[in-house]
Amino acid sequence: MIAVSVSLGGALRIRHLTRQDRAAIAREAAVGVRVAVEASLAHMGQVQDSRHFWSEAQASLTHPTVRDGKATIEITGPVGVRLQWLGGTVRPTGKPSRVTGRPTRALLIPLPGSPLRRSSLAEQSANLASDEEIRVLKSTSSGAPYLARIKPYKRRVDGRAAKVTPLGILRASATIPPHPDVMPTDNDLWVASRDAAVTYLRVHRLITPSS
Amino acid sequence: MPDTPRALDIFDAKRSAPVSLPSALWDLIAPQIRERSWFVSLCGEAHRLQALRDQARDVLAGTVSKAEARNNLRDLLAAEGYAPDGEHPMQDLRRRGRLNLILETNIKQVAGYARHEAYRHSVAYPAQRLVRLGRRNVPRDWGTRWRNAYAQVGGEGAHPTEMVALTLSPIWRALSRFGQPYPPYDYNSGMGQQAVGYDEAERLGLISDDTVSAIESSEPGPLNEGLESGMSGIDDDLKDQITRLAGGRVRWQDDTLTLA
Repeated sequence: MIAVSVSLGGALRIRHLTRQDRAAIAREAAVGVRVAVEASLAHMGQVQDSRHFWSEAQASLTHPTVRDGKATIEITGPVGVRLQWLGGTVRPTGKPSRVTGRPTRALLIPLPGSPLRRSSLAEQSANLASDEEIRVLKSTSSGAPYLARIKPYKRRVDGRAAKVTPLGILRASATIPPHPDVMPTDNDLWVASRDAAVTYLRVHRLITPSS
Repeated sequence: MPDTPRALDIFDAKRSAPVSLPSALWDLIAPQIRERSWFVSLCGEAHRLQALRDQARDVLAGTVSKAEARNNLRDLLAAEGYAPDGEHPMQDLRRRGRLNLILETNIKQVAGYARHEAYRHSVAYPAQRLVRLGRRNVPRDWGTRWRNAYAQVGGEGAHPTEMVALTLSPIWRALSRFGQPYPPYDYNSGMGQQAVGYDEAERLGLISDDTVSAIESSEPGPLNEGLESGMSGIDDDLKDQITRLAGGRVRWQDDTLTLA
């Protein structure tokens, strides 16, 4: 979970506000913070051409709570938002694999268009035909290991004995660079909260454009 | 003005409805009932429904990932010797597509509800824009759907072409397959909402003299006041079908259906 706070203090000094107005201004400031965070997450979704991850991050936002002049907003999921934001290195957990039962020693990173993007490795394994298998192969060009689904042909096709569908590459670790755009800056959050509060005051004619 | 509810509070307020109805029949049940019910199409077994609910809650709370939730559910189903009722892949609760649909739709619905309540009273951001938040291989034609919904509600609080409408405009319900004013608006949809500020809403002609008072006086719907709703116009044979499929767990009084 990520929690981001922004101090709302000093944004506005208007006299003669009712308690109701003050509560409404705090609420609008909180909405402003939310709008800024939603915009950052939506931007990430567009940049990464995401299907689910960033929209799920947006869906997990809690509405900002305002206490003692500070608005706090939380992102509760999905797993990995903090990693995308701050960057870091991912390594295998060492938990038993659901396919082999042995401790996982490598990360499996699906290739573009891989069947793993539609169903998990466990599902792929469960649905193998009797003559199919999933094996680790080595790239002929780089020598890097990758996982592939192999289906033998009944007769050779273009000199090949089997259809090889690459599933994903195997890596000992993967380093994710930081993406500061995941979160608005403190200043962006402060401006967003102030603008929302000012709009409320302007619409209710509690301030004029020149004040 | 009440506090903005958290998605988890909304989720917890739902009541489980272990009723084995296909989605086509659930669609006939009033949105107010569906909104407050935890149900899964063609899943009438209370223990499975509870397991799905527990995992969905954990995903919503961010304590497990969707992949972990799927694996946990598959383990539970395997332990009880589960076998799917039908041959259609989507009837198999173990399949990734079915589990994802259940988890994603339900989680996004409560998140959408919470977001809708968060913006309900905002004057600074009184409108929403229908935007794509997640890429899909075969996107639906939302432009046509918007125009149809616009015509259906007479354009109330909505712009005809910009896909922007006041948060409280009836166009959002008209747009939704589920009859709810918040996303998701259809199964596996990548569309969502983006808040639109007062000035832009005013420029688009959405703000009238009474807009601000309507926003500030709008009342949120109660989360959990009695799971019953009128279904006038439903034929007797359809009522019988719903009762039979529900395994006797529903009760009719005239045109009112109550989940027991």
